[in-house]
Amino acid sequence: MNSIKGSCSLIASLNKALLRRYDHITYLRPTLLNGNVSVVLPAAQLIHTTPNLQLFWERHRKGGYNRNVKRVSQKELILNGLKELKKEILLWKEEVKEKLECDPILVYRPGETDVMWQFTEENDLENWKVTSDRDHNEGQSFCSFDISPAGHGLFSGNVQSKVPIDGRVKRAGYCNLQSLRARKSFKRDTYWDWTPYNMLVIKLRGDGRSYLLNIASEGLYDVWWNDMFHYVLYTRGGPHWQIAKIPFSKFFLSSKGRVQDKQAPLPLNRISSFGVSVAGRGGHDGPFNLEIDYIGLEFDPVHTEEFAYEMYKQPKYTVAQ
Amino acid sequence: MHFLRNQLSKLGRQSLILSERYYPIRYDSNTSTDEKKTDDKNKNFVFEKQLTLQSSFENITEKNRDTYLAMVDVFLDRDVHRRNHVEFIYAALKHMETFGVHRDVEVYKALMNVMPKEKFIPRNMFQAEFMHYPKQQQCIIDLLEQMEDNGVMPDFEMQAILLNTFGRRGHPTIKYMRMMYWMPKFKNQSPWLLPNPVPNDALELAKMAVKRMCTVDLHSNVDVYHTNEVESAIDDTWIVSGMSPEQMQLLAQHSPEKSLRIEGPHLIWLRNQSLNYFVLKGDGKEYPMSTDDDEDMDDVSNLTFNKYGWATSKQKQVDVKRSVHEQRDGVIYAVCATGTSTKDSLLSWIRLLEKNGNPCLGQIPVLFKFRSNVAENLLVTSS
Amino acid sequence: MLSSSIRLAGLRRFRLIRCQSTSVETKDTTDKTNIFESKDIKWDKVKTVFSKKPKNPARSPLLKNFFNGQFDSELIAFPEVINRDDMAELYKTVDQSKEFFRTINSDEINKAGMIPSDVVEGLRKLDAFATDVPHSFGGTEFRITESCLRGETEAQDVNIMRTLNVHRLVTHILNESGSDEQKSKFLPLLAKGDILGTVAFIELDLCPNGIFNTTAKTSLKGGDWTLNGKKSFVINAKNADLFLVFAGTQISNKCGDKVDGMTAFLIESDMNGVEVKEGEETLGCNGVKQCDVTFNNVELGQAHVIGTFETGSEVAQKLLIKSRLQAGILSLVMMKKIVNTLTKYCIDGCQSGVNLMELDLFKNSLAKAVSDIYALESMIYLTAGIFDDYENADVDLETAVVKVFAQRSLLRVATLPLNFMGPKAIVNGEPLAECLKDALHLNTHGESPDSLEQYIGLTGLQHVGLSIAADIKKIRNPLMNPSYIFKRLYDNKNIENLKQTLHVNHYLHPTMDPAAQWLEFSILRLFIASETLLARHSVQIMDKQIEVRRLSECAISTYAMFASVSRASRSYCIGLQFCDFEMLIASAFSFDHMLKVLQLVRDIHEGPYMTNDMNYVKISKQIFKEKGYFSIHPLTRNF
Repeated sequence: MNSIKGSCSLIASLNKALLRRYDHITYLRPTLLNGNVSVVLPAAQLIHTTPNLQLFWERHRKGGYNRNVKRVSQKELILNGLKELKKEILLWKEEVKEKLECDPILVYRPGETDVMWQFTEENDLENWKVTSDRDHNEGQSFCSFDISPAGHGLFSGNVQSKVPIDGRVKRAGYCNLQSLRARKSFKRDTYWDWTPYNMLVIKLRGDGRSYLLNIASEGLYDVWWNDMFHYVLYTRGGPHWQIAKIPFSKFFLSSKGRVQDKQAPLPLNRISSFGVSVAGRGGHDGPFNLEIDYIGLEFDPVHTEEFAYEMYKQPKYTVAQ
Repeated sequence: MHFLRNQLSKLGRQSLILSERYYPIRYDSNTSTDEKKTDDKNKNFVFEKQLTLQSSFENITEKNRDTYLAMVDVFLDRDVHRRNHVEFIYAALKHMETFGVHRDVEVYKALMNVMPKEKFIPRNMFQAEFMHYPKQQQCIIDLLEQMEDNGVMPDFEMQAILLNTFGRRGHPTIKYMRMMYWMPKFKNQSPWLLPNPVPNDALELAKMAVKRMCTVDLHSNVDVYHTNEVESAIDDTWIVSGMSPEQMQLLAQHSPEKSLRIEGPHLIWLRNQSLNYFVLKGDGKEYPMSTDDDEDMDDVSNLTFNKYGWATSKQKQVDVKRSVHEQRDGVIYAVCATGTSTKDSLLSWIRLLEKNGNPCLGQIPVLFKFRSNVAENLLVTSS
Repeated sequence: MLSSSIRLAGLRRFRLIRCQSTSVETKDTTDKTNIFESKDIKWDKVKTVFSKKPKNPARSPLLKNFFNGQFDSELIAFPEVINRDDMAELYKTVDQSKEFFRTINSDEINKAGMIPSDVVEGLRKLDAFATDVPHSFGGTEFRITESCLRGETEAQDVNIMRTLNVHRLVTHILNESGSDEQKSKFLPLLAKGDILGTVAFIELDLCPNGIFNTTAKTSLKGGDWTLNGKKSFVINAKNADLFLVFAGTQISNKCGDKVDGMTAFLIESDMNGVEVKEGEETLGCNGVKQCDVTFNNVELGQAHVIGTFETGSEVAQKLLIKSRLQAGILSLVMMKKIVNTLTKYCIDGCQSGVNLMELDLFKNSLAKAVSDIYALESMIYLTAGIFDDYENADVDLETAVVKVFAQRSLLRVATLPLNFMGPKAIVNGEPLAECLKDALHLNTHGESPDSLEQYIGLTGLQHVGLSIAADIKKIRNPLMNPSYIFKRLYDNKNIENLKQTLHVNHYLHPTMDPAAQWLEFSILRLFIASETLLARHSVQIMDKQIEVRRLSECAISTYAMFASVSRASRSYCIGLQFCDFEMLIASAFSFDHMLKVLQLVRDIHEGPYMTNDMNYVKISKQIFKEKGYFSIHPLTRNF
């Protein structure tokens, strides 16, 4: 039914101390941390049916999912790097030019949408990736992101929440569309700064499903790597376009798919990637279809809310602090 | 979430044992009714033989809420110690959907009541800190998570059960608190709120779907037709059609030389139900690129306005406004869902539209542009 | 010390103006004799002589220039249109009229739904139908000020007043824009009251495209045009013989394109295709039936057109200007009536040993009502004075302000009895209840206050736009005109702390100093606000109705302040009875409205996002989406 990477009883006993804190961690990802699965233990012997964080720290940002990636020799790395050098220098040139020009947007006029991404041709899809549970043999959902016949981005596929009966995962059924991480030239990580805006604007044609919007704000240390802010994208369905405006204040914090007890507003100056996902749980298995014209940002002076979720003072040791 | 605050402060005051007294213990061994006891014998028999509890649920032929609850009662009455209750609950959770009770909060409560009261409540700091009775706690956390997955909101009775079982420091209780914080916040968030659960009747669903799609235009009319209104119809089914006066006007302006097309079937989801719909579309009118403004937008020396009635700028009259139905890939004239989704029923739809205020449809050729349901074909059967 | 010398100089100038305005009187007009006889009243045989003062040369418009931050120092010396001698004569006719109206039982007229024939006869004898007809056609040729004064007596009965008003509008328009044949054909008859005229302007249904549903199209047979359509709420249509009908037409503009326009037609009731039908029953004003008039293929010729085919909207403009003042007079009289009744009620009323008149609440309400009346009265006669005193006076905006202010304050005052008396104020047949109904009815008559407000604001902005278009262009393109922007930043005008640059106080009594300052600041703020709006929205201001409304309210308040202050100062200088209280009323009114203007200008300055405007826009979107009130019931439980 489930599996836990428990390598030895020593770690398991250590683990008990951590149980309180992490009993709710992750359901989307299986347990494969650090890439060293040894045994699959029957459920009866272990307490937890959800995977646990086994160590005090995480080694890989991918949470173990990169274990199948072939290691490339140093030499090859250098050669690959040189190949990309030209492109990166061009990118860098642009950056320098932009800095010298120093032509910022002076006025963010209310009601005007600044388009962040628009999908009209194949090139526009370059910086996006799609993932689904099937990628790691953890389910049967599949999806694609390409240009629709009408000439817009089309995120479509099929979600299936049927769990493979190999005992590794407890739940399945997701498809995900995500932008590549914000980065500068020479593969340096950076963040998008959306501070002047307070609304996310998406022009879309949906199918009546609810999608999950994910805005990642990756932090420096492992505990913040998976910080992600979510909100629901309700689609109307039907042949007409729909413009969804979602205030950033409505986004709530979660990590590895678990809503956090201690919430905080989305740090708009530290956006590392943006994504949309769809899940099949609760009987929503089947095809989905989300056509996106553009994703933009807007400043709406009427919306003054900073964060929509009130926090209560809780008795000590009841929520993870 | 006032209740959170209230409950927590209340908890502080209330002694745990006291709170237990408030709770009516329904499924305890000595409270089960006589009526249920009549068929206890053969059900006990089920448990006696089985080592694994899982198959006992599978063996039930008539799968419904009553038999499910009866199974729970049988387990409770089996012996005083309620051995293997964790395993029982896991097995029961797994079979909820087949019994059709996965959206029933009462059933979840019944399962939760299998756990003995008071025993698992931590009595000191260490017990509270190091997950007292971890297996049991995890089991109920899983139960709550299954509720969450199925969109079932817990209620206050469940809170009482949890408090009596695990106390206010128990992890299931905290999980319950989280659920009660987040679930109501999103319960009514959808701009097109649907009843929960959505009806099973296809016609009702179709009406809902077409109404929902028509919310783009406030003037839209949703009509329910029946194919027997058309003489030549073969199918005997309903048609739910949505069209607004503006669309009718656009259709009247459509040139008869250009054909219209019925596109579909497209899919629309209403919660966990999906439905096929069709769109009557035509080629869009070409709009001239907005004429270069010879009018200076900053020149206020010559402001003109409508002096009679409500003053508005003259500009509005000059500009031709593109309607919402005119999209870049064509003009949407109407949407519909039919009971059979066949070409014949769609043909009846066109005839009915023609009869009901769109005489021009008699002259315009209509093509079918059917889309094979791509997703279905690609669907891989489970290995 | 310096300031006091300036003030003295100002005062001297003030007196000078006063002398000028009284020294230009001449007597060179025709005399006219009227003899009245009536069964009921023994009228004196009166000889009315009105000498007409020639009009002064045209001046630039007063209120429009407020928008520009300018004011006319001559007009602040409240106009005196009528000569001393004429005044006495005028008062005689007014007294006669007053006497006559005292005999009229309004209740009966209301109940009967019509004006009895002996009353009509009496009106004829009083020359009530001839006031706007020139002497040459047998009329009395009243000026606006005179008709206003006389109107005050006639407005004692709402129904008669409304009948007379529409009749006078027809004669006024005929006289102003009619052709000679039309004049000689109709005016003598109209003057005698042998035939009655009325105006058909309002329509029941909104016209989705164009101004009127009633349209005149080029005729295919007989006449030049064929008229079709239906006009509603036509006052006294049953008894009227002559309709002044405004119809939508296609007229050619300067470029030769056909555009929607309107034309005024004069239509006799016995023409083919004209049908008068009983209209809908309305709330209030039931003494004169309002009817629907249907035009079914009425063939019209050139003789039926007033003015020319293209100038219909100019004719309408003249008609509206006059009708707004009429509405002002009607409201004024009603308000006075209500306040007098309430005062009596307060004096007599006593509850648990406390006299109602001792209650501050009532004192305050009455005083406010009185200052509103005072302002309205001042505005009416100031506007009428400007109209009569100057050639081609542009009082379009002023009259609009009069109407809006009159209707708004009438509604306010008419609901006062509800607070004072409770349910007693809504007993059917009670005079105050009838007043409330009439007030509600009058509020809907003609242009609605809200649309008039838009009209005031936009016309004002149009006027400012002419003079500051170049500046606005620079402000809207700051990067192209850096030096200009810096200059503006340097002499940044602050709406809170202004400098007195107009020196309004120099033209008023020194006791008026504070009020003069408030008035001046309001004028300056009006300009700053107009500039702000034009700079912010430019030509799109037409569609920013909330902002325009604010500006318009500022203009209304400022004009009301101007009128009250100038009137009070005049009264004080010449020593009229109760002039001390006039000063107090004017000051109190000015203070209230200065604050109002300040708040409105602050709102304009902050813009739609800092104020609540956009929030309401957002809420309204949801209302339309949900087709009505949408909030979930407060008792709803979510879990």
